[in-house]
Amino acid sequence: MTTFLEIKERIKGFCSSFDIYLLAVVRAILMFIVVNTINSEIGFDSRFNSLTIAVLISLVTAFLPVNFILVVAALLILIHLYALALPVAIVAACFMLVIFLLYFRFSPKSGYLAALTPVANIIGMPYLMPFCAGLMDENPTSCISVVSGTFFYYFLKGVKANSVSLSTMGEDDTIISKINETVSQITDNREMIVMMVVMFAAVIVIWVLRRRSFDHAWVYAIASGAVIQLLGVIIGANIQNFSVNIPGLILGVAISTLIAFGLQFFFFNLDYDRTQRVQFEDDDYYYYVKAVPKMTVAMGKKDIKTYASTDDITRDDIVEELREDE
Amino acid sequence: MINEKKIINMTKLQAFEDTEGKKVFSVVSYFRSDYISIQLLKGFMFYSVAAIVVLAMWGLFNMEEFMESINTMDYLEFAKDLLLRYLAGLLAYLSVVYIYSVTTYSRARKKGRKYHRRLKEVSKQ
Repeated sequence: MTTFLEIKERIKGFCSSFDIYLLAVVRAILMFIVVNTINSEIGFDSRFNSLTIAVLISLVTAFLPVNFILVVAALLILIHLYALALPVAIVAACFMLVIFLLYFRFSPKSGYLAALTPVANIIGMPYLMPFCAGLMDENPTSCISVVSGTFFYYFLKGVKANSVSLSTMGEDDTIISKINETVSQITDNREMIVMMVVMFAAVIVIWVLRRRSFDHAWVYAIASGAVIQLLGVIIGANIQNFSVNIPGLILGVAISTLIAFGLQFFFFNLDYDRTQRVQFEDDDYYYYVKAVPKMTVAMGKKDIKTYASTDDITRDDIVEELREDE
Repeated sequence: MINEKKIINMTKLQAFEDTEGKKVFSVVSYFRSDYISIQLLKGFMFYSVAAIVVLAMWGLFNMEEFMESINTMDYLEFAKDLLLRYLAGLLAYLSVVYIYSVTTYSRARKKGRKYHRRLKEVSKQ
């Protein structure tokens, strides 16, 4: 345990020393992953579906606020959907506009979660997002980011699956019939509804529990989040009659839970054995305070011996000094 | 002689001003009722624009049905139904906006008070 704590302290020290550069690198990496995922899934516009464009966009967003990830991702999605078919792009733009208008002014900081949720879904780890939002975000409103991201993942999945029929206009097809086709593949998607409800419930429960003052609140929050997601998806799939890959679900939840415990180790590692309870008062209030110390380890100090003074010592001086000693 | 406590306090004050301070100051520059009213007004406008977008999408989605029943439908009843749905949604959304703005204002005021307390400490040191 001490070794892990030492490693943690070293990582924290390193991060705090180079935070400006590290944040830029993290932003660039996240943007690169998001752009690459969008290009690989719905890269209908060949001009933007290239590694060079992904690298260029990532380099630019490295120096912009983190929420630009969401803005750039939204624009890129619209460009690709426009290349596929105008009605699909119109529907996507309308959904994006409604979400931006109604929600993102409440929780602008967690907008990047909405961009990362589809990526997490594509790599098979959607269960990680409620842990990230519930454990790390200050507000429970981040649940809407995760829900919006889940919605867009299923929307884009449907567009990709029906891309051939959406891009070809038959004799009887009109823009309106294509819009109908695009919207109905969302309204008929029962799996999407179940996943959105499960994600929403998981974020809220994790956020509420981890803020409680009882011992090991984060552990209970993580465990509850895992159980809600596991049972929620299984029960939802049974009620709504869609198939779920149970081993994949269990593996996904298990890996996400492990990562969540990793987050706990880095951000909320408390030593409950040394909890102190104190009471005191001032003119207006009586205070009952519970103080739980953080688990830390003292880093070993490095002894630095100086063998040379600031004066210039030549090799001949040292040889002469050694001769004198002899 | 350097006053270490003063430097620590001044650093904390500057860090606050550079990060969340901007938002806190912009919130507490209003009276509570003014801030909440502005947020509700913004909420009303955003909700109305979103409602128009949703209505347009709904119109496109149900265009065929709408065109078929255009001669037989009761327009007054249709308008009443739309208005009721709009008002119900608006009420729900504005309730959320109200709770959000009350919480944001009280949090910002607490942080603002803490900032001023520290500022006074610095001037005394």
